[in-house]
Amino acid sequence: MTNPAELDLAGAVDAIRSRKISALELTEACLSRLESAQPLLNCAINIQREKAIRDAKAADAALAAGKPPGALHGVPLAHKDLLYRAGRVSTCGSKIRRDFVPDYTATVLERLDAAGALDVATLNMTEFAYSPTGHNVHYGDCRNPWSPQHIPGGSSSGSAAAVAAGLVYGALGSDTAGSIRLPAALCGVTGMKPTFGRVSRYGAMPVSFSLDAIGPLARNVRDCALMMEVIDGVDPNDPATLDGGVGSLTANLEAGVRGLRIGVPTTYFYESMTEEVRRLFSAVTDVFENIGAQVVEVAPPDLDEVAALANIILAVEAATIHSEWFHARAQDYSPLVRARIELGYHHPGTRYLEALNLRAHHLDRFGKAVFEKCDAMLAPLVPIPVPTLAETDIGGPSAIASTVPVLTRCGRPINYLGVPSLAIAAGFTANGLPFGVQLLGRPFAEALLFRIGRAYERECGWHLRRPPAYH
Amino acid sequence: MSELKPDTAKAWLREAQDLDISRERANEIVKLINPVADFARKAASAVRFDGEPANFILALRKWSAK
Repeated sequence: MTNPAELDLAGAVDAIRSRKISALELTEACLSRLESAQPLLNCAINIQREKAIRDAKAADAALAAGKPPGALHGVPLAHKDLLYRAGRVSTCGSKIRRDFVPDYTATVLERLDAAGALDVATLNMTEFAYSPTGHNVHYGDCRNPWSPQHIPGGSSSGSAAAVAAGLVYGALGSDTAGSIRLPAALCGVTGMKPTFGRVSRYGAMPVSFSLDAIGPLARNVRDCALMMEVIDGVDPNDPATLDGGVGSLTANLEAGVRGLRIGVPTTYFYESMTEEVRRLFSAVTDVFENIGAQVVEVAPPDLDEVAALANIILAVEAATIHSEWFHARAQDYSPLVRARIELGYHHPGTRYLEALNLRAHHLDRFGKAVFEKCDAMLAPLVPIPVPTLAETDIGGPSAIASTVPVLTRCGRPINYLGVPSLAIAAGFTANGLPFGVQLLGRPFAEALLFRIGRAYERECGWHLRRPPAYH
Repeated sequence: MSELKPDTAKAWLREAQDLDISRERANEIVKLINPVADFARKAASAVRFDGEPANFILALRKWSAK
């Protein structure tokens, strides 16, 4: 008898195709786990039991009728509640959109639907994707499956928590300054922020038009790559999408890293880093050397400036997006989100345009310093052990300057540069919470990052650990 | 920097009255924006936008995986 909780996404796909388990059995198991975990984890906003059961029965019927199964046929997924589905409330984690029902569906959800995946719930997130912790005053704080006192990270908090606890087989999140990678690292799962333009944002509530990326979180590298293969590609509804992604993302997953040059940065990423995290990061570089990679030092330039420019773009674009609500319903934002959006109204237009125009220049400098010296760069992602909810309760504006930059420092510049970044599980700190790192590559080098990440996880097996309460 | 000094912040912040921002909050905003603005000024001063399109998409393609 196949145990649904022990399957990963790829295993669930195989089990359904080979009739070892039905989509209905898998879905009922996921719904049961979601519902029992919800009171403690609070990772979902809306569990759609009836729809999920109906869709699972339809998936089983299609298979029984001989219809060719899609790449993710019958597998239960759930996604961050800022991806629109026609006719379903999409709260975006906010009070303002508590009753918002879009009349169209996000391209990424349509592509997952076409691949046969099931969408069983909307997942908790920070308000308007605007905080790196997982706190949410409107729908309750999401919690880390490894310890309910600790943050899951944000803003894709529910996506990471649900995947880590084994409640669904994968989830989409969004990443404007680390919002996929950060919760993936803090919950011990895999998360991909794709190249700018690789995945459509159509039908996703934006934070920042220029920095937003939609990507998958899953239990391991292969599962992440499988989801990416379904969602990526040009979309006429998102004019920012590009046709740079070529070829399979899974074909070379097991090719290893022998002969590859892995860059390790000498600057920027180590500020605020604890000694414990420094040791763990060093151990990751040792693993790559041991499995045949050549580890080389690289010095990415100007990342403090890059982070500042990203800050300006994010602030101004978010302020623009929120302008109407901000003037009419300012009291309906939490103090933190209100204070952060407010900053965007106070940058001159010239500074914003300079920040946009400088992207090509900074990508060029980054490319020369990094991509001319290595195939991919391994970098820290979170400089401190996973903090508790109490330690990071950023209820007011005064905490913005201290808490947010520490958590987002390593992720933020990457969105400005537009390059892909894969977060992978890389161990545990002494408090028993996960530790993760990120792999950065050239634009559209997702396949290589998956290959490198797979080589690491095959060697170390951190991705196989499960939170004790969710075995 | 002069336009961002705390004592002139409220006058400078064009949106301040519209958003009902207090002088105390205006000063807070200035403190948060100043370091970012310093970096942005430094970054902008290193590049002259003249005669060459600063196209991020072209740069993405230039550095993309082959």
